[in-house]
Order: sequence, then C-alpha cells, then structure tokens
Amino acid sequence: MALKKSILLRNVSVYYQTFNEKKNSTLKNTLINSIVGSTITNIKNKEVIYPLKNISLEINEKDKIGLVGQNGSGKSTFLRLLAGCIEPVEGTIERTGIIKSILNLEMGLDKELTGMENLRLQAVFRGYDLENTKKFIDDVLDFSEIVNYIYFPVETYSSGMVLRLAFAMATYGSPDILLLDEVVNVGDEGFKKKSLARIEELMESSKIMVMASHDTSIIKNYCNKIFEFKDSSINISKI
Amino acid sequence: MFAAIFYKNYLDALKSLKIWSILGWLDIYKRYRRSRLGQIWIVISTLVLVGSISFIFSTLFKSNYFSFLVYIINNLCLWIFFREIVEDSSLIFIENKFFLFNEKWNHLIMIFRLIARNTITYAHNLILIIPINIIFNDNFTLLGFAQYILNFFIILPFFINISLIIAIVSTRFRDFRIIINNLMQLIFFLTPVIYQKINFEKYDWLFELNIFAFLLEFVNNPINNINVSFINYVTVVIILAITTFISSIIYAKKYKRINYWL
Repeated sequence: MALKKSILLRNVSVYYQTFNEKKNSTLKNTLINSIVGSTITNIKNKEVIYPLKNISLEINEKDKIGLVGQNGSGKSTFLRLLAGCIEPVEGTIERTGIIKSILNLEMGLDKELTGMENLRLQAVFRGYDLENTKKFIDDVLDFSEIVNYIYFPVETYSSGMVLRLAFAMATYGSPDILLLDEVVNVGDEGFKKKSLARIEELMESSKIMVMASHDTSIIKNYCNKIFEFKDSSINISKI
Repeated sequence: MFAAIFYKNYLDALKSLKIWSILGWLDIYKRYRRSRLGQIWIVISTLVLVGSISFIFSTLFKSNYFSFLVYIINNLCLWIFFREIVEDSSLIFIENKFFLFNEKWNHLIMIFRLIARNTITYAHNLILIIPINIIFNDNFTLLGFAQYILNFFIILPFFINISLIIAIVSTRFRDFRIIINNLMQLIFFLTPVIYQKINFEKYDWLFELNIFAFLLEFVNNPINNINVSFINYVTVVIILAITTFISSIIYAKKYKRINYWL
C-alpha cells in the first residue's frame, strides 16, 4: 500500500542571523518588527530574525493551503522549509511524497544558455530518460510558444518570453506535493489564462498544495485552509 | 554512524555523475562560448605561460630550456589545477544560490561540479603535457604515464574534502575567501613549481611540511620515472583519512545552516 503523503512539523523554529554590526539597536528592532511582523531577537549575542518559532502542525492529503501574511512574515521561508531548501534550526520536519516547488520561476534558468540547453539540463536534473526528455521538451515548446527562439541564449529573451519558458518548465509533471510562491498570475492576458488552467491541472493532480499569495480571490478559489503568518507563528483556519 | 549524513550525501552525489559532469562541462562551455577558438584558449594560454616561464627560469638558473619546459609544464598545470579548486571553492555555494534556493539540493553535487570543471580544464592541458613529455622528457615511459594518471585520480578525494571545508567556511565567513586567495599566492612561492628543490636545499624542511609540494611530487614523479614509494601511498591514505574526517565533522554539523548563510 502506498504511503499517505504528508508533511509533519514538530516544534519547528527557523531563524536567520542578520550579520548586523549593531546588535543592540532596540528601537530599530521594534520598528522592523512592527513592519515585517517577525521577531528580531538576540541569541548568544547574535542578532537573529525569527520568521517561524516553535511551529507544530500537520499537512495531509487533500489539503489545499493558502499562506497569507505581510511581506517578510515568513511565508516564503515556510515554503522553502517544506521544499527542503532549508532545514529547521530547531525541531523536526518529515516529508512524505514527491515535492515540486515553484518558488521563483527564473531560478531554474541559466540565462547564458539557450532555451534548448536549459531544457536538456532540466531533464538531466529530473533524471528523465531519452523518451521522457523528448516528451518534456515537446510539452514545454508547445506550451510556451517560443519555438522560434529556443536556440537563442535566454539572456536575449524578453521578460515575457523568459516567464513563459520558466513557467512551462516548472509546471511540467505531476508531483504529490505542490508548493507555489506568488506564481499563479504570469505573463500577458492570453498566457495568464493558459497558465491558470495549467496550475489548476497541477492542483487537481497533486495530493497536497501549499500556495503563498497576496491575492485573496486566488486563495479563496483554490484553497480549503488558510495559514496566517504573524509574529513568528501560524494561525490556521478553514475556508 | 558518525557523520552519516556526510557519507550518505557523498555517495548520492557520486551517483549523480551525469548531473555534475554536465554542470562542470557547461561551466567551461559558457566561459568560452562566444570566443572563436573556444576551449583551445585553455591550451594556448598554458602554452604561452609555460613557454615564457621556462625561458626566464632556464636562463636564470642556467639550465637547458627543454628540460625546464618539461619540468614547468608538469608542475604548473598541476599547480593551476590545485589553485583553481581551492580558490573557486570559496564561492561555489554562493554562485549556485539560484539552484540551492529553489529546490532541495545535495551540496556535494556542487563540489563535484567544481572538481569536474577543473579536471576537464586539466584534461585540456594534457594535449600539451603528453607531446612535450614524449619529445623532451628522456625518462618518459607509458607505464609511468599510466601511474601518473592513476595518482592524479588518487588525490582527487583530498580536493573534494578541502573544497567542501573551504566552501562551508567561506559561505559563513566572507573574509575567508580573501585569506585563502592570499594564502595560495604565498604557498605558490613556497612550493617548487617554477623552481627546483635542489636550488633551495637549505629549506628542505619547508617542502617536507608543504602538502601541495608533496602532492605535486606524488603525481609527477612517475612521469619522470621516479619511483613513488609505498610510504608515499600510505601518506596519501592518511591525508585522505584526516581530511575526510575533518570535512565530515564540519559538514555534518553545519550542512543545515549553509543555505541560511547564502
């Protein structure tokens, strides 16, 4: 029997050292806290910023979670944590299932390489064999509609073309757990419709979806739970 | 098992040979993609450097130009390989931030990428090393060359370990990169790369303590038909064991923090 896909966090804390020379400027800390909503504190005389503090929660199959909160409140850090880009400083996290994270569309692209070279490289990263590589390339070319430019270096593309290529690459495949960071509305009007349909498809096929967005209508349309980030903690509510 | 995560990730990275070898190759490809001669520039720049240094130092030390050419090409190509790995290591995680921040990555793949990139560069220089040794090195034998290649591969794990340690420390302490670069310049002068040990017999103890000087001889001696003793192989194994132990401790303790420091 296949294992149920889930993410389990136990007493997870994440903090970043600010590497700031002035460690005790409390007025500044207070001001930043009031703006970003996370806690700046001192640990062993090091100034640190706490996006997440002592979080315990469980994300299970059929959960479609929307992350909301001010800029800097910890949404992206939380997504990075779920994706495995960072590990908790304190506590533990268990992830069961294949995770696909689309945290920054352009991060998977090497702009010095051509579009086709990027596609082939991505296929290697994903461990595709020849047949699957061909399927992947055909799908991305078909979806992104940039066939005529695919042998040009990505740095010569317009920002819209980069976005199309990056989006088509990132959204190919069907993961168990899908993590999205503000990437639902991309491109011009025509491509926006196409990309929304693709995201919806991905959401349908994935067992767990976690999405950060400032657009409340998107959260309401696609999610069944809300995680609200404030003061290094998470308030959970159902839609 | 002690530092199990290090050995697990090391093996996983080894298995990802296709990924790091392609990434290493692409690094070279990108560096020369818009030049007409492409990677041939690696060979040309080595040839110019080695040719001119050989001329200056053979004149200075009143030696035969061609025997000095053999000495310099064997030493300098290896030294460049050592130096590039050590210096590039300090930036390897920072340069690959855009990979490490988007998905879960095994940091050791980036280290292997760096080793692959420099090994490919070194392989380009074999285009010069082989014919120059065949023509001008009276002690060159095929068996010696095979042992030279073997010894080259034996020391690679040392550079993987060193590279990992430097990469972790430099990501956390950004000054470390500058210290390393300056240190490598100093070590270059303390290592018999462009001069011969016999000219500085008084300072033999300095060469004995210099690990780079030892590795240089360990790899190069077979191509000059000089015997590499069993003790030398044991020394290399000890060096590998010590550096593996140190890098495994540092990695196991700090691997969770690397991406926070980027």
